[in-house]
Amino acid sequence: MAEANQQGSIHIGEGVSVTGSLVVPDIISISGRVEGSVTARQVIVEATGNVQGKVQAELVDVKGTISEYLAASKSLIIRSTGDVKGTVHYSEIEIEKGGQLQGDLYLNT
Amino acid sequence: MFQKKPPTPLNTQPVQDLPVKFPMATNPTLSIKPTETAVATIVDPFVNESRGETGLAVSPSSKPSILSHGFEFEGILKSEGVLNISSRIIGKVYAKSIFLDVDGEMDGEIESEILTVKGKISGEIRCHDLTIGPKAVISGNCYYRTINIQRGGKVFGKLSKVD
Repeated sequence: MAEANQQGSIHIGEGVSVTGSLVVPDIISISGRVEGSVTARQVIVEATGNVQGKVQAELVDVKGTISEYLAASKSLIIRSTGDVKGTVHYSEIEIEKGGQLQGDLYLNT
Repeated sequence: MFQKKPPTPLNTQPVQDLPVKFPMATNPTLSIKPTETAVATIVDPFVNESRGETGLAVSPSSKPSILSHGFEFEGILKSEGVLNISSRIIGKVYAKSIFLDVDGEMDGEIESEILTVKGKISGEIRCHDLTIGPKAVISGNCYYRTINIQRGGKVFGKLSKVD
């Protein structure tokens, strides 16, 4: 999704582990493991991706796992392999059949 | 429970030869403990054996209980079959399958194997398969095995997966 030449984007490949805080102006796509906080316009967690910590974005697309905290100001999609645990703030949500969501849900107003 | 000759099916295939079996039918796990005075039990002896994606009955032998718009009920409602609800219900509802239509409103405790929501629910929900439609509003705690929220569905409260 996030092509290598796209400005303001980053791709965390499979097997890569990142700890700390990531601020990405455009798209971050995660196939590896991230511990810490992620702030971006769009966050894509691929099927092998795993984020532990805080995720804040306008658009969030989860095929992997996110735990602890997730805030999606525009849209949150949890795909069939996705798994989200923890506190979730959203304004529009979609969960495909098979997708998992556990925790407290808050709707942004 | 008694046997009833199934109504003449649209196709020539007999009802018992329907290939799809509802897996939960042999494994009822809902426990029902009435604690209030008003109790309505809808026992449907012609419980369907096959269902569509929405949880709605598709078998010709099924007879969903339909609670239409304008109907209002307060108390405990139990059904061994399918409930199609477009009305307002306050209290506890136990059924094998519940379809809450856009006009439907439920307030209280809901226990069902299949729950499809297009209307509004406030209260506690316990079900196996939960489907939340695009205009549905749910507030309260949900306990589910599988969940499906269509885009636009609103959920407030705690979601918990149970095994």
